[in-house]
Amino acid sequence: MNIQFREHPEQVASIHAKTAIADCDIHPARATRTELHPYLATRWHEHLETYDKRPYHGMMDGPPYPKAQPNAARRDAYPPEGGPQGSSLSFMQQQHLDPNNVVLGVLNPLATGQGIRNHELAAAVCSAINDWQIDKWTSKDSRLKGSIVVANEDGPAAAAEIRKRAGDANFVQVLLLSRNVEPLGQRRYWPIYEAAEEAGLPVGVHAFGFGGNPLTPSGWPSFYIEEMVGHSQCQQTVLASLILEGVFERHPTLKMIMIEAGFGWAPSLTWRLDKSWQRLKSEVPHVKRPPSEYIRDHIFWTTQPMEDPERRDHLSDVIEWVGWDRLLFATDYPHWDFDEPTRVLPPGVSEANREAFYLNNALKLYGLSE
Amino acid sequence: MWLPSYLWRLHKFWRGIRMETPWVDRAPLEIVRSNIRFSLQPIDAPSDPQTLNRLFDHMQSDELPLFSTDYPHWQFDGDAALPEGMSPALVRKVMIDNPYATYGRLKQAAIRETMS
Repeated sequence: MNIQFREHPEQVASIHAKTAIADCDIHPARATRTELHPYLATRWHEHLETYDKRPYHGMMDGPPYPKAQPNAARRDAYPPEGGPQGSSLSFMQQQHLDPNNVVLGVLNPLATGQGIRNHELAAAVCSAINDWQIDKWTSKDSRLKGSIVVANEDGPAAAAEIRKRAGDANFVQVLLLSRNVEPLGQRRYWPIYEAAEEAGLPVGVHAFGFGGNPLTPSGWPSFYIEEMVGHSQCQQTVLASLILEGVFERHPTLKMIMIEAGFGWAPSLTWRLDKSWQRLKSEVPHVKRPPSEYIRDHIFWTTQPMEDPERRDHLSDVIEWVGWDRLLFATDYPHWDFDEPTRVLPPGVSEANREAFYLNNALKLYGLSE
Repeated sequence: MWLPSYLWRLHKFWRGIRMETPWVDRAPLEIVRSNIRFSLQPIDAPSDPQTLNRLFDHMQSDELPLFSTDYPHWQFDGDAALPEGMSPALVRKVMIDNPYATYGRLKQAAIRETMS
C-alpha cells in the first residue's frame, strides 16, 4: 500500500546532514475557497459566485480521474491548522523544506486560471495567483520562487502578464500545462514564447491541463493509472510540436522544462524525430537543424516521478543519453508520488554529477548561481 | 525503443495504485513479456551498435522484436532494414525464432513442408 500514517513528520538529526537540494516542482495550495478574493476585482467575486470557472474540459470541476489519494496528496501532509495539503507555509517548512535541506523550491500552482474558457476571467485568476504566490509564499520564505501562470489560450493576455512580472525576482519561470486546446508549438501560443524569451525566463510545461482533448491520441482511458502513464505520451506530442513548428528556430535563447512527465522517453523520441526529419524535412523547411540539437540546446527535465527500472545501470544509461546537465531534481511535494531525495539516484554517481542533478543545474538555469 | 521507459513508468504506477485495477494481478512487465510482440521497423535508435545493444539489454528479453520492413511504404529502409551491430544470435531470434513462436501456423506449415 502507498498510504503511510505518521503521528508526526519524520524527524532527522540535522538539516545540514543532507545534501542541499533544489526542488523544482512544489505545489502550493489555497487554504480556503476565498483565499484569492483579495487579489481579484469585486466583479469576479460575483462572477465566480454565479457562474463558477468553466474549463475547456467541459461541465466539470476538478480532475477527470479519481486521484487515488485526497487531492492526489500525501496523507501525512495535512497541515495541523487545517486546510488541504500544501496550503500552509509553516507546515511545508517543517515537513519538507527544512528536513530535506531545500535551498530552492520552485512553486508550480496547478489550480489557476489556465484552461478557463472565459479568457478575461482566466487572465484575472492567473494574475491573482501570481500576486498570491508573492504574498503567501515567496515574500515569506526566500527559498521559494514562483512561476508566472498565464491565460494560456489567450496569447496576447499571457504575454502581457509575463511582461508585467518580467523584472520581478519572486518569479523564475513561466508555467504552462501539457494539455491545451492545441499542441503547444502552434501559433496561438507564440506570444508566450516571445515574451518569455524577451524576459529571459524559461517556460515550464507541467503534466496535466484542461484543454478538452483526451489525454491519449486514441481516446479517453478508463483509469487514473492510465492517466499517470499517459502524461508521458502527452508530453511527447507537446515537445514534438514545439520543435516541428519551429519555436526554437524563432527563439534561439528560449529554454523549456518538461515537468513531471518523465525523461526516460526522451532518447527514443529524439532518435525517432531525427530519423523522420532526415526523410521529411522538406515538409518543414523552417526546422533547420536535426531535432536532437534543439532538444539538447533548449530542453530540461524535472526528475519526479523518477524513472525506476529493475536494473539501476539502465537508469545510468538513460541519464547519460539525456545529459547530467539537463536534469532538475523535483519531489512533487505534497503529492502522493513524492520522490524521497536520498533514494532516487543509483550508487556510483560522481560528486559533480550529484551536485548538478540535485542543485547546480537548477541554479544555473534559473539564473540563481552566485 | 520507447518500450523500456514506458514499461518502467507503467510498472511504477502499477505498484503505487494497482488497487484501482485489481484484476491486473501480474506486473505489466510480465504481461508484456508473455503476451505482446513488437515489429522492428522503424527502429528508433542511433546508428552506433553500442547504444543499440544497450537498448536491447534494457528490454531484458530477446523474444519481443519481430523483423519487419514496412514495404512498400516510404519509411521502408531498403537493404538496411536490419540495424547494424546485432549479434548473430539476436538476428536469428528476431528474423526466425520469434516470428515462428508468435505465429504458430507458420511453424506448423514449415514442419509439414519438411516432412513432405
